[in-house]
Order: sequence, then structure tokens, then C-alpha cells
Amino acid sequence: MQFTAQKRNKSFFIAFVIVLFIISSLNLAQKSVRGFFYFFSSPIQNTFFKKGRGLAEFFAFIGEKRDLISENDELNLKIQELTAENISLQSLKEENQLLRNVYGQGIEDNYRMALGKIISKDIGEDVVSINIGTKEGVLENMPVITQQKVLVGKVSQTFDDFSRVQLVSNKKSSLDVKIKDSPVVGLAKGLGQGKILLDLIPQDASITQDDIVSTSAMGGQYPEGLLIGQIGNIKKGDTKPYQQAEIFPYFDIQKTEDLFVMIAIK
Amino acid sequence: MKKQIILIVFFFYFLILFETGFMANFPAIISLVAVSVAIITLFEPPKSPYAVVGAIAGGFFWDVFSSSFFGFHILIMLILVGAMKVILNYVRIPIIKRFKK
Repeated sequence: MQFTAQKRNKSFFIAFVIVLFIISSLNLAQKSVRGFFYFFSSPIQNTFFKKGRGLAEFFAFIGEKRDLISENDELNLKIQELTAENISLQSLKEENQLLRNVYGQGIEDNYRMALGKIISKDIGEDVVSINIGTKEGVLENMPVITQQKVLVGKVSQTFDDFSRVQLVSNKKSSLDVKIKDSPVVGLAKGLGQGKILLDLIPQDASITQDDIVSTSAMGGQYPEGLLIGQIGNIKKGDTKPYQQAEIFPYFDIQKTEDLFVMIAIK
Repeated sequence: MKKQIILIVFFFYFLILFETGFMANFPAIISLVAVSVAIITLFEPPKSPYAVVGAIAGGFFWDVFSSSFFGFHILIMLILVGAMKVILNYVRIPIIKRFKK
């Protein structure tokens, strides 16, 4: 009886050591193991992602149907405003182009855009996988944006054909930002679950709801002027040295499929 | 038994693809992998190995499709199974008891 118990303990110990060894080797070769699984799982994930989007859009449509009529009226008014604004901006664009030619180059001139598609999102984490990797020149820490120049995040891990993108709302993410048309600068911290907090805004700085937040060149992580979102609730306390505000990010995984990785040319 | 183990591994593989692909479009509430492991633990006979196999397979695929190091989610799933088995030794749920016969 004692002999059987000893034998069982010995086999448990051997099994434990073998499992530990396998897990350690997986960690040593984690890039190739993950790359292997991503390679043959991506078509299935992509199909699942598209089906999920279809269903999510259907539910969103049902939920939003009531608001569509009033939203349509508002949008019609906005179109008229924007048409007027567009006319005045045309002349500014020409002026801007002239200044660019004289003083330097724009984002498009300093970066090459690599187009990628979202294929999956991590469980409970603000990290998405895209279908381009080192073969297309993608490297870690490269900024990722949408077609509308909305900042999505940065590349956190690369494989041959895939990359993982850490979203701006990820808990590990923090970046220097500024308020559009204002000298106010602050720090945008990811809170997870698609939420971002605007922090370190001086108490005397004036910020209002719906102000647009964009990237600042101060941190050196991202080029200046990439859109992040709009300011929501502002928390201002007399005892606190700084103001804090909620940011409603423009990036929405449910409405975005194509992303661009900004590959620096110079 | 081998057939069931292979089935469990495939089930967790497709479950993780479903969760990272399909469910990415919906707000995440709870992990389907953790829920599945918990359900298997609840309904399997006490000395059956399927929950442990499910925990290792589910944890492994969760590790593959996440940023954490290999072994992290395997460990969490095994702790979940272990804790549930200990609790189930002391707590008897009549509905579950029927399945365990």
C-alpha cells in the first residue's frame, strides 16, 4: 500500500516536472508557437469576426432606430454648416500646402501606411490582432491609425504575418495629448474596456465638454495631430492639483475593420 | 477516453477562436473558457479527468491568443478546477448529483 502511494507520488512529481518543462519551452519559443497558431487560425477568426460584426450591427440598428430621425435632422443642419466651413477651409488648405512646401513635410510624407485588417481581440484586454507583420515592415511601437487619422494605439508585438496592437484604451497605455485649438496639454491614460482618462490638466486650464483631444509631439511616441476622442465628464476638485476628464474615444472596434500602421520612412 | 479528450481540446480551440473573433464585437462580460471549465467541473463525476484536461487545453489556447506568458491562464484554470472540486466535496447540489451518477 505504502509502495503504491510512493509510486503515485513519484509519477505525480515526474508529470509535474514534464509539464513545467513544456511550459518553459513554450515561453522560450513563444513567438514561433503563437505565430504558428495565428497562421492557421486567422481565416477562422476572420470569419467569426465578420459574422460577429454583422450581428452586432443588426442589434445596434434595432437600438438606434428610434434616434435615427432626430439624428438625421441634426446631421442635415450640420451638413449645411460644414459646407460653409469647407468653402472657407479651401483657401486655408492652399495656404497650408504652400507653407508645407516651404517649411517641411506632412505626416503622409514622413510615413508609409501599411494597410491591415482586424482579425481578433484579446479576451478582456484592449489588444487587437491585425493581419500584417514583419514581412510588411511592421515593427514594435509603430503607431496605428484609422483612415480618418484617429489614433488606435501602437504595435506591441510582431510576428511574420501578424501583429498585436495595444489600443489607446489599454491599461498599459499612456500618452501626451493636447486639446485642439488650445495650448492645454495633458496625459491620456487607458483605463481598459475602451475607456480613456485625461489627466494632469492644470486647475487653471479651461477645458469644456466635447473639446477634441489629439496627440502631442511631446512624448515622442506619436506624431502630432492624430485624433483621440472628445472630452466627456470633467472632474474638478479644489483639493486636487490637476483636473481630470473622461475621453470618449473616436476609435470603435465595432465600426472599424481596416487599420493603418505608420511606418516611418526617415 | 482518448476520443473525449481530443473532443475537449478541439472544443476549447474553437471556443477561443469564437471568443476572440465573434465575441470581440460585443462588450466582454465573462470568459466563455472559464465558464465552460466551471460547467465541466460541476457536471463530471468526481474522479473524472475531463475538467483538468479542459483547464489545461482552455488555459493553453487562452495563453496563445493573449499577451500573457505561457502557463498563466493554465494555472488560473487549474486553480479554478481545484477550488471547485474542493468546494463540491462539501456542498451537494441535488440537480448536479443526478448527472454524476
